[in-house]
Amino acid sequence: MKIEVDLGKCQDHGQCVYAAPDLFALDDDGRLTLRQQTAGVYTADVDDTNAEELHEAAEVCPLQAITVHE
Amino acid sequence: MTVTEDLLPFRDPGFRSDPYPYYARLREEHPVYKHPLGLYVVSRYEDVARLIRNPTLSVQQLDFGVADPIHHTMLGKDAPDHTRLRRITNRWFTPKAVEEWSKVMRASVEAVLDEVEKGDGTLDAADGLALKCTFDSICHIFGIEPTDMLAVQRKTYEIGLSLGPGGDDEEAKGTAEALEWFAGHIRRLLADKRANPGEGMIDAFIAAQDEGRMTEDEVIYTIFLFFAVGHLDVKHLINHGIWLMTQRPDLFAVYRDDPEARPGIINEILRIDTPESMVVRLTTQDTVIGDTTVPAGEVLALLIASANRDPAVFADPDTFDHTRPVAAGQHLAFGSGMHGCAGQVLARAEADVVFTALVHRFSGVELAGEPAYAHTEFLRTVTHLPVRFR
Ligand code: HEM
Ligand code: SF4
Repeated sequence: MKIEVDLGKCQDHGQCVYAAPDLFALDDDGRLTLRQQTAGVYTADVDDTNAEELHEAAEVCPLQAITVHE
Repeated sequence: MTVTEDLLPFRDPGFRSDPYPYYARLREEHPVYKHPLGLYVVSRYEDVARLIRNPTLSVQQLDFGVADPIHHTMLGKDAPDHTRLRRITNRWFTPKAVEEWSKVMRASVEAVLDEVEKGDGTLDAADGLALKCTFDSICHIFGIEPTDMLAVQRKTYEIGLSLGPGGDDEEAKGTAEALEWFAGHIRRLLADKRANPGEGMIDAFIAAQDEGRMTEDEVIYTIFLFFAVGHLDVKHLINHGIWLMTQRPDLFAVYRDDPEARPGIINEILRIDTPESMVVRLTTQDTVIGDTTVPAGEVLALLIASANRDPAVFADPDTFDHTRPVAAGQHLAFGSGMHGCAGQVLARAEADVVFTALVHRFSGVELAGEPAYAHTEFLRTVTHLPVRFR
């Protein structure tokens, strides 16, 4: 499955970190670590074993910055 | 540097009614200002935005005085307790959940406006619309009947009074009594819920307590927290939006005719009149802010309302402009980071429901009397907003 995180929308609330700690993390400045890779839309292939966590992350993100493609 | 003059006179009525000139001076001259009361006040956007996400700052170790029970809520806890409580509540405020709550809000708003239309078109929008409809909505989320609305509003305000820096004994007593009132009120609601279970958020808290995921105090004060935040700031957003429409008929028309402009208008209302003026944190280690190193154990007041008017980020910051480029900077009205507002999707949706209903039903709105305010050092509130719809 594929994941997209729109870092233009994301405000580093870290809700995705609670939901899917294997996939998301905050750095020492409290910003989503994915920001070190891009300022735009981050995309990646994700293993299906993480599906449940990932869907929870997408659902709780207050800015709806995370999209999951099956 | 020593400054003898109080540059942030929290309790001065002039400051409370318009703190923005004071903020502007702080940003320019003392971006990290050691207040006579001992706290460090941070006013520039860049510093506030960085610190509000700084995971080394604590809320759990802050001294809330008589409001100590707030430490039983996520607002007063650090990880891992914060994470645990936040995960239990988050699923009630996802965008999908909020679609459901918006229907309740809409029905409540339409019912109020039906009455306005039957009458002479006037309304005190503060209690009659903003408070009533947000209170109906949070009670629906809880799974309870919307009773004791005015008492909940008054007690919440009394708790807020002594939360700010430099409260007096009288206010502290009021806060303690109000918290006790809430604890009693909520214990009765919980007993009633155990006797007549339902499917609301309170039922979920009871289940969490029975499964050992929440303590009884956490249940009680988390319910208090949602009673408070369910109406407090969002009321100000709605009131201020309606007030703006009385001053600027063009905004009323834009809101009606250009749905794509609506999120920008709501964001700009939040930026220009930020309901919650600051968030407070405790340093747990040396913390460098610009030229200043703040040692461990000091209280930081992060002025989000000042950050939202920082000209370094928002050009011509005192002017309302809903077409501002989002890329320039996100306003900080909802805070950010781990404690960033859990209800922001709901708050935006509730405001949108009100404004959309108004612009579709009426052709304009004007003041029918003078608005009244009751600002504290934390919170900006409109207590009366007499308006007439046409
Ligand atoms: C315009 C309306 C609102 C504004 C401006 C606002 C603002 C804020 C701010 C600035 C914080 C951060 C406090 C801090 O960092 O110490 C916060 C936290 C919070 N807000 Fe809101 N809020 C609003 C509406 C709501 C609503 C409607 C709800 C839910 C019904 C809500 C629930 C919460 C909760 C539970 C927290 C604590 C989050 C935590 O500590 O993890 N808020 N809010
Ligand atoms: S939950 Fe959403 S806003 Fe928060 S850090 Fe994750 S992606 Fe960003």
